[in-house]
Amino acid sequence: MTTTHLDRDSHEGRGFSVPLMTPAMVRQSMDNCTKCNVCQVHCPVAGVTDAFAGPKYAGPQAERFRIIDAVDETAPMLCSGCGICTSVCPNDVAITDIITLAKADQVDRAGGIGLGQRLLNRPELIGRLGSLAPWLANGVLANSLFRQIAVAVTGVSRDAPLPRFAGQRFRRWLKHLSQREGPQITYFSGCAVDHYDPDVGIAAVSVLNSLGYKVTVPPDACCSLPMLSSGDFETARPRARKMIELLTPSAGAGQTIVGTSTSCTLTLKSKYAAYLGFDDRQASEVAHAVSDICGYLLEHHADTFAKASARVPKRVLYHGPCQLRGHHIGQPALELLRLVPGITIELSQASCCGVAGTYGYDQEKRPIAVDVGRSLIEQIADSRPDLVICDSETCRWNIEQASGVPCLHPIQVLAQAMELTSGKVFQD
Amino acid sequence: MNYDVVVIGTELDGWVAAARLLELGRSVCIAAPGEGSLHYAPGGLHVLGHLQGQPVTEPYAGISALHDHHPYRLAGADRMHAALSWFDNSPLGAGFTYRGGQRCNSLAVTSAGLQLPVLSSCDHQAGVEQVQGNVMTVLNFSGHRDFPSGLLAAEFIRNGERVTAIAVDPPGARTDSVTIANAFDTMDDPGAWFGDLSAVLPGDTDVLLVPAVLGSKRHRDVIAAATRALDCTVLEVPTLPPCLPGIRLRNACERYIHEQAGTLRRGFRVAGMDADQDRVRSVTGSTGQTIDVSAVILATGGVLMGGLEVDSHGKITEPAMGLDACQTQPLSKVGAEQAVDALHRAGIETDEDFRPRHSGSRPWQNLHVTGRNLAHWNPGAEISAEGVAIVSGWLAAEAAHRELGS
Repeated sequence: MTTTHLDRDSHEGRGFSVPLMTPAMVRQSMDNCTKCNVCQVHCPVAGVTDAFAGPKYAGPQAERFRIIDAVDETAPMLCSGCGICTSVCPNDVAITDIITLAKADQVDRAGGIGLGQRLLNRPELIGRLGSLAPWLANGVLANSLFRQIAVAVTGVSRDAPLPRFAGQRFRRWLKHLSQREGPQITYFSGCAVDHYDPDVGIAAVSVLNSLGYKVTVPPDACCSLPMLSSGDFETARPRARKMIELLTPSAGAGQTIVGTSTSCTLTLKSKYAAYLGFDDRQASEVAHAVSDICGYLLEHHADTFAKASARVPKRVLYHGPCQLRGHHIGQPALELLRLVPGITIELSQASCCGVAGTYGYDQEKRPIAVDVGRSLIEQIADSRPDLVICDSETCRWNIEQASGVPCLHPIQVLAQAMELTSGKVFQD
Repeated sequence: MNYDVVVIGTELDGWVAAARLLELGRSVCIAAPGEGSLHYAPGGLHVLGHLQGQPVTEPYAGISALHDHHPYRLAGADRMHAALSWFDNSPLGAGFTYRGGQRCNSLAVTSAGLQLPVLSSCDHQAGVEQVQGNVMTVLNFSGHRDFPSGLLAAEFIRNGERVTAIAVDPPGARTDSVTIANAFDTMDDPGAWFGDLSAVLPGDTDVLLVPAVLGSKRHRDVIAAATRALDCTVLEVPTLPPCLPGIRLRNACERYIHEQAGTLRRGFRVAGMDADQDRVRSVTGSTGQTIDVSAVILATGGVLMGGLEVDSHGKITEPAMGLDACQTQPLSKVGAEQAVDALHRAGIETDEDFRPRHSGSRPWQNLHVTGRNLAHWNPGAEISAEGVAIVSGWLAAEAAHRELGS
């Protein structure tokens, strides 16, 4: 076997790890911009509003002038952070990250962020409060008078796709789970599974168990992505560090850390470094241990799914969330779903559902988010699938609310294909 | 994860190779750092437009005058015709029309008023013969800088044609091609918009030439609505980049790859590979993922798209697989025109199946190089970008399929 590597020092053998990109490297990447406009062509926000000049202008182009503090600012706060610009750039400019760094500077100068975004940035806190009495919390949130007052006080849109509190159902289920010994893997559940979408976590752990893994689930904590993407870096910094410490035992033991939330896993993989400059050994170890669950299953267990899948006679529409692009792994869920017999898959023609994390929850940005997502909702209305499948939670809540069609995480369908009863969410 | 073939890059040659391999039943992963140069392409199928600065009428007949190792010479006229016929019959070539017949160029109108030889183009793209002798109006959107309508009109007038140039406000507040196209895509009633336009359109207009920005999805409907509303022929002229006709072709490619259950991995820049003697076994991306492969097609787009790199001494290298680049003319100490020509003609030399040489004379067995990465051609001077992309991409796919066996 001969091995050809272009840089033998850093590229050792298969699956070598590469240095993380820090804020300085993010900013430096603007020099690669050739002004080709490909990002402008694909930006979903610039496509629906004239208020946002687009990623080229708000990103690398404005950045040159930001350095000398002479920028006529091009509304970086209107960027949804979907990351599509970065994924289509032929020249490796970290466009979204440049814009997010500019957002953080603006937040700094403004002396912090508004109350509504501060609330949205604490999904784990809200989740815990709601979990004290989920029935009461859900009732209050469904109350239109409360929503009107909330809009006035917080600026959170009254039409925002708020999920229902699920209490501590995932953690309770986990407590009663008995696992066989086997290769160890860590599952990062994230706020969505811990407080709102327990079925996704149950399906994920069940699938991993049935593949022979013994699953460790670290204590419930937020990765602080909402803070990072809204530019509130200083509040995020200590929390991010705590998160790294929480995951270090797993990463240090050589375990893979899989997650079902594409945006949380992307934060752990690359955003701590890109936004907060965490590129020390401990942070790198965690970053390199993290993997999207479908990416991991496709790479290591595609054969199992190909051989042992039960028929799932459903017509589904798959929407790959935009944050998945930042993983550079394509759409592994789609490749896995294609192995499931009986399933008919239609692909989303839209690049973004609009909600982009908490972007579409903000009253001011809500109309933009709705416009961005319109073509997807129209496609769903035209083809009336049994299910929509999407890897990202706020996208699922948004799609389900706007289309009225149930929206599931791919792992839930894969659990069904493996005939696992726990986490079963629909009847055959 | 293992694929039969990994296509690296989203140039037209990569899309074509992937589409053909999927049709032949192979599993294919397209892995690319970002989007390719179709965003800058005017959308027509340019096969061979110029030789030594003179227009070419019959591209197939013209190839004998090209360099011995020009991609068309490697392919030969018959295989070249097979590849271009495939494109014509595939969903990628849907809506393309051959105004000069299947084997002859016709002339397309460009936004600068030049006449560009093209084998085929979209049926709503303006051709010179189609518009000549008609009373023409050239429409532009006020503030749209990527469409020099004055230049276009002036060139027609110089040739004795009757042309008026008009400018109107674009739908929406912004004036770039993509935003205007989005506005037409989402407009409730494009017919009404063009109905309003008729108030300022010279009454004797036979042909209205518009910048090719009438939508990226439903441009055909918009053009039909405009034709009905204005009661004249409405034809598009490609703008400067980013260019909607090229973007539409790119979108058609992506749709077809998805329909054929191909895999698309964006953000993948090759950083290393494992090889067993003269066979590539896997490629690893800059983010550390490894893809096992049975064959690789390298469609990374030459110097223009970073498929070939040039250092400050004018030395050209191939960064993904470390292939030897052939460079016959120097880049430094020559005039700009010669340097550009030298840049284009530098690239990877291959055999007739587009396999490059491996450490000496033997070719790689399962690695193929296509499009702008290839040596001994100049897409700008020859006006041959799409032709070489389709021919080399399709033939590389056929060769990879043969090698993989049944």
